[in-house]
Amino acid sequence: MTRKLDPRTKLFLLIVINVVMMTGKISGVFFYVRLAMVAIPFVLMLKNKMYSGAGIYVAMYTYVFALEGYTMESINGVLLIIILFTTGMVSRFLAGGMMAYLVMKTTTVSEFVTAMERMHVPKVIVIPFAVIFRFFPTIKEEWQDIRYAMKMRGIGAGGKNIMQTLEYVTVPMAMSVSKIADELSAASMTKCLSVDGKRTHIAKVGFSWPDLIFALCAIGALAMHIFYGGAITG
Amino acid sequence: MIKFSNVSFKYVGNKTEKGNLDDIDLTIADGEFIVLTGESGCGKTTFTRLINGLVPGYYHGEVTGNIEVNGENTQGKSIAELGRNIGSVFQNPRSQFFNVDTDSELAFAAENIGVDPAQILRSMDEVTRDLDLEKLRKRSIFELSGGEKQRIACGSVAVMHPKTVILDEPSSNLDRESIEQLRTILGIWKKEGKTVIIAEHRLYYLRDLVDRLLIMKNGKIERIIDSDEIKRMSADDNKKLGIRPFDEQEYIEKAKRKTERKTAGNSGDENGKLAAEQSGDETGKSVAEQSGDEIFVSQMDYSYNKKEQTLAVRNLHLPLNRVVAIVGKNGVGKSTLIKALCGILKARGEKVYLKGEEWKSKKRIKNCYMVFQDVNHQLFTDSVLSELTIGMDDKLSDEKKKEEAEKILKRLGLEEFGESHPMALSGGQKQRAAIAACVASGRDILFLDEPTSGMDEMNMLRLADEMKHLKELGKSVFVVTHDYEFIDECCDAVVELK
Repeated sequence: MTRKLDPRTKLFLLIVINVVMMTGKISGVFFYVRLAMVAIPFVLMLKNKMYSGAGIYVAMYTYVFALEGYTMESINGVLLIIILFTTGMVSRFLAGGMMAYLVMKTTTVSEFVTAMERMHVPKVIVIPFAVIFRFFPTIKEEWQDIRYAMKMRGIGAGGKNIMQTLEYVTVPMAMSVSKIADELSAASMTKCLSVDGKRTHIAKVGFSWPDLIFALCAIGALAMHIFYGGAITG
Repeated sequence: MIKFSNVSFKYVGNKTEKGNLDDIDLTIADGEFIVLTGESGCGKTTFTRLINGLVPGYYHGEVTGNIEVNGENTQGKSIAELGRNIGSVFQNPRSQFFNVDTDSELAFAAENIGVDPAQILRSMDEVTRDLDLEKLRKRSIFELSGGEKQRIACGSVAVMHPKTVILDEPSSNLDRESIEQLRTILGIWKKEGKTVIIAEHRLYYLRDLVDRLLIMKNGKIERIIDSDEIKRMSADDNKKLGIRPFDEQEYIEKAKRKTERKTAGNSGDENGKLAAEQSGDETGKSVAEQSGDEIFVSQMDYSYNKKEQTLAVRNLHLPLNRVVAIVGKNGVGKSTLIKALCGILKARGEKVYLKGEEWKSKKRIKNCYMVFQDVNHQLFTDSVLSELTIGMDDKLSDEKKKEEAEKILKRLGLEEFGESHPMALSGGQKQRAAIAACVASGRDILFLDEPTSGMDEMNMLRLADEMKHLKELGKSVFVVTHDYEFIDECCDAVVELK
C-alpha cells in the first residue's frame, strides 16, 4: 500500500466511524461492526508508522471492551453505571478522535482543497476549512509559548483565581491567532488567492484499490447500522 | 517601471491630521534595487503595500494621486491581479504560509492563477535549484526555522517569475546566517533583472545590492542616497542620519575584543559545550577569579525531542551586574539556554550556582524575567500601563506603581501609549512594551531574546540606554542578540555559544 488514501475516502471513514461508534448498538453482531470501525484507524496508524500510538490504542480498546463485557454480566447498580459511563466514553470517542487526528496528519492542505474542488464544493466553503487545517499546528505552537510566559509571571495552570488564569490564556491566544489570521489573509491575497477564477493542482488525488476496500468496509458497517441498529439501547 | 505621482494615503483608523504617506513622487526603473528605511511608523511598509495592492485593497484608507506599475494604473485592480507580476515577502515567517507543507506552498500562487501543473512542477524544480531549497522540499513548514521559512517564502514568490518583488522587513526575525542566505537570494534576483523593493531597518546586508536608498520620515521621502555615495559612507555617517549601519565590521571587531579574553578551563573541548569568555573590564581579572559575582552553570542539558540534544552546557560562567551579550550561530541553543536559566524549561541534571550557592529552578523563576523573541504571548492585560503595574512589587501603593510605570514608558518612548490596548500597538511598540514590563518587574536578573530585531536606530539607542540604566541599578542583564551595533552600545561582555 504505497498510495495514500484519497481525502474524500478519509472524510467518509471519519463520518461513518463516528456515526457507528457513537450512536450504534454495542452488543451482538454489532460488536463485530464496532471492531471493524476500531480497526480502521489502527490499520492507518500502522501504515503511517505510528507504532507506539497503535499499541496504546489497541491496549485501550482491549481494556474497555473487556470491561464492558465483564461488567454487563457481573456487576449491578451504581458501579455498573459509573463503569459503563467511563468505558462508554472511551470506546465511543477514541476511534473517531483518532481518525480525525489521522485525517489532519496525513492530508496536506492542497490535497484537501483539490479533493473538495473535485466534489465541486465552492471555494467560499473550502478555503475556511483549509485554513482550519493550518491553524491546529499554529495553536499548538502558540499554546507552548503562552505557557512559558505564564510560568514566568508566576501564573500556573491551576492558579487560585481560575477566571484570571483563563483570561491570561485566552487574551494572548486570541491576540496572536487573530494577528496571524490577519497577516495570513493578506499574504494569501498577494499570492493570488481569490474566490473566483479556476485553480490548478499539483497534488495527485484520486481513488485506488485501498480506497475501495476501506470504503466498502465503511459502507457495510453503515448499512448494518441503518437497517438493523441505530438505537443506543443495545 | 513603477511610478508614484503625488501619492498621499491615510489609513481608515488614523484620526490624526497627518496622513500616513504624504505626497510621494518617485519613479523606480525596471531592475532597480530600492531600499526604504526610516523610523518605525515612517510609512515605509505602507509604501510597499501600495505597490502590491494591500493598500487600499486589504488595509483600507483614502488614496490620492496615481500609481502606475508597468505602465498600468493600479487603481481598481484587485490584489490577486497585481500578484501575478508582483511577489511579496513579509516580515513574520509564522504568518505568511497558507499551507502546512513546503511543496504545496511553493506551488500555491501558481495554482491560484491556474498555471498548468506540469509547468508548475518544472518551475518549482528550477527555483529549488537556483535558490538551493533542496533540503527544504517536502517538509512541514512548522518544523522549519525562521530563516528556512523565509527562504520558502522567497521560493514561493520566485515560482511565479514576478518582475517585481516587494519585501517588508524580511530580516527582522532572522539570525546572521539566515540573513546571509537571504542576501544570496536577493543577489540572484538582482542579477536576473527583477525590480526589488525592500523596507528594512537593518542595512548591512544590503550594501552591495542597493541602487538607491530612500530615507523616509513622517510619510515623506526625506532623502535619497545613491549607490556611489553608499559605498563611501562610514558607520558614523549612518549614525548621523539616524539609520542602522551599512558596515557592521567595526562593531563586530569590537565585540570580538570583548570576547577574546578567555577564562581558562571553559572553552569548548566537548561537543555542544560553551566557550565562555569575559569582558574587558579594567581590572583584567577573569570572572572565575572574581569568584562570587557570577552565575555558574556546572551542568545543564536539554533536548526538545529524542533525536537531538539542543543544550549540553558544562562549566559556564556568567558575570553578574553587567550587560552581557550572548551570541552564537543559529541553532546552538541560545534561546533554550536562557529559557532554562530562567527556570521556564526544566533542564536535565542541572546544577546552577549563584554567587557560589546552589540555585534551584524554582528560585530562579522568581528572581528572573525573560522577554521572548515573539512578545505577543507576553502581553495579557488590557492596557500597556497595567502590563507594567501587574508585575510590580505588591507592597507599593497604586499611585506609586503608576508613577514608576510612567517613568519607564517614557524612557522607552511609549509615554503616549500607557492607556492603549497592547493589541493596538505596532510590532516594534509591543516589543518595547514587553521590555518595559520586564524592567518594571524589578527582578534582579533579566534575559532578553533578540530585543532589537524590529527596531530602528533611535529605539535601539533608547533600549541601549535602558540597559545601562539597569546595570547602574545593580541588575544583571543577559541579551541574546546578533545586533553588533547594539552590543557595541551597551554590552560589557560577550559570551559566545558553540
